[in-house]
Amino acid sequence: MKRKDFLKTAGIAAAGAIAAPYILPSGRLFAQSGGNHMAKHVIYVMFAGGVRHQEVIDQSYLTEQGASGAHNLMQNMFNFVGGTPNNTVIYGPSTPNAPINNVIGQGTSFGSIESQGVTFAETNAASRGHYGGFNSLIQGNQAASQGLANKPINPTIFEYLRKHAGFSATDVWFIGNTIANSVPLLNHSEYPGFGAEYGANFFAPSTTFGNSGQQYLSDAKFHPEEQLDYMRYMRTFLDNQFDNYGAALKQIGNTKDESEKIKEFMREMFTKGINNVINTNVPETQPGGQLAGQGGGDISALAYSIEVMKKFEPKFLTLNFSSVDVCHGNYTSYLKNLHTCDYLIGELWKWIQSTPPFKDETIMILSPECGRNLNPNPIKDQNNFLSYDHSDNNALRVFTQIVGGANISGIAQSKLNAQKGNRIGTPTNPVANIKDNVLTIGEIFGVRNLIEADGRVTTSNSLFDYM
Amino acid sequence: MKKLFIYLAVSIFIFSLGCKKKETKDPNLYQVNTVDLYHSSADKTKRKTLDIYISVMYSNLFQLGMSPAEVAKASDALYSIGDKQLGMEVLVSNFLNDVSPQVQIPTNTEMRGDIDKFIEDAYIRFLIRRPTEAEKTYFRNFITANPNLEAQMVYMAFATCNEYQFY
Repeated sequence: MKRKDFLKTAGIAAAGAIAAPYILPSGRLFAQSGGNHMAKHVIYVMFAGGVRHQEVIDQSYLTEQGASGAHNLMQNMFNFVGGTPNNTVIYGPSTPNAPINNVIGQGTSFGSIESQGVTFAETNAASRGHYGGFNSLIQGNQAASQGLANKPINPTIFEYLRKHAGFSATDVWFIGNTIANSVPLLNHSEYPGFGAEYGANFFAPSTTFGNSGQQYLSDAKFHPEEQLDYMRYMRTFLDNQFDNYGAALKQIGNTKDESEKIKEFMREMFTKGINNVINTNVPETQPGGQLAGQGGGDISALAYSIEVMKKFEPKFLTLNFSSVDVCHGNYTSYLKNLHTCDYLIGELWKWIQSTPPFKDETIMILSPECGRNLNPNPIKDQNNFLSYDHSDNNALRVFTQIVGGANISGIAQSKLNAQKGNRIGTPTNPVANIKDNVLTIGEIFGVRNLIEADGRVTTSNSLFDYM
Repeated sequence: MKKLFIYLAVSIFIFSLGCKKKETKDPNLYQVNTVDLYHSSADKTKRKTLDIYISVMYSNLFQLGMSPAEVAKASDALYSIGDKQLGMEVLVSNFLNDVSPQVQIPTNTEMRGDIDKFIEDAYIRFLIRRPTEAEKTYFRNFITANPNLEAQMVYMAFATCNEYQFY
């Protein structure tokens, strides 16, 4: 072959290799450029343990408890109506006369989530319960027969994205605030054709990096790579022998490099220490801050989500908060925790919009898994405020917020820009269901049609259809 | 005299029956139940819970029991990680680093001194069955071909393999 012909052939081959599509787990071809993703990252927040519509969207504050004046407890997520409460019952403990820092609300250079994005102010929850709600948020399905303490009965958004969009295991994360309430079960279903091999990586940081993890995971012996390779060879042999009998176990499918990166992450987190991680990522927990010394599931879920984002730059990350569920027996703590969770969202969006590669390239979606009752139960707290459960139709009234950075594209960009700052839906005209979030995320990553074709979502709408 | 002799003989016979030594069990004697080995891995159809897995693994590594409270705590740690196999690797590595108590693993010299025995012992300790000839051959060849391989990595492979998660 002449040199000229060789160069020409080699050039064509190289170009072909770069541009060539590859086959996804679902069997279809997909361009290596990442297809038609409207955003590079989606952060999905399950907020925050049963949120009563009246205190959030209506901003009724204490009016239903006999006090006067509507106030906005959640200045980072929603625009001011009655201003922040002057009653100090929700503030503290370190500086009880001031609200927690307004990170992105009105008056800051960011602006609230409501002003930057779109708020579906009257959305239907698919379930009055937490676990049913969680499952609807990730399955896009009513999941009426979903059993407690069971894996999701339908494929989850994690599995759809890994199977159809070709995301790797460390592209998809779920950070739980607890190991209670079956939260760790949510990272994948056992639905035929899906399952663990398409599941999300999961940590519950308050346990993984808390006392239990500190005792049993933090002192792992260092093994040279050569020794680990030996171990993997032998284990593969053992697994293959066992597979012959048809009892193969599916794993999350982290590659060798991904596994070692996760172990490295764990070592780094244990070295940093849980207090240091929280103080770094949740500034108000530092000495002198209004959450000084506080930790807990929601705060650690946020702090470690940020650490996961720094380390793995995931395409899709879900995190959940649930501290407002204290409302079953303590309304004052419920208000305080709503105020705190709003602050955590402020810190999260501020971090996203300040930190490459997330800055301007991310869409964040927030929905409660369920609401709370219209009428209280008889339990009174230290301030004689009545508490609320979640079992009536008011518990099906929730909201959804969606906000995107400047560089998102496609209809996500055009529709979010067109509806920026708007509220969609009224009490007499509810719009959207939390199930719709799954197709919305699918649409952002270009796999909506494939998710619908799998036939396991019970909605045909994404949020963009309503804008 | 003859009557007296008969009475005496009968009395001795009856007395001897009544003085039979009573067999008593030592109330402080404990022992491990005998466990039958599986004929093959196909006999294992039920998956261990995390608690059972950790408890058995601890016993296999340390030859000691683990308290229920400690099992629960270790189980929580493992439950909080999505990739269970990765979590098991970290947990086993953590145990391998324990100083007191220490894991009971043959030394590398012992392993290479009698490879067949090492393999057979590992299968019985972890998988409660004897290796097949094919399995024995594979491990014999693998250990021989890799002089740097450490015995603890063989144990880690057994402690994190799929079959070990079933009973």
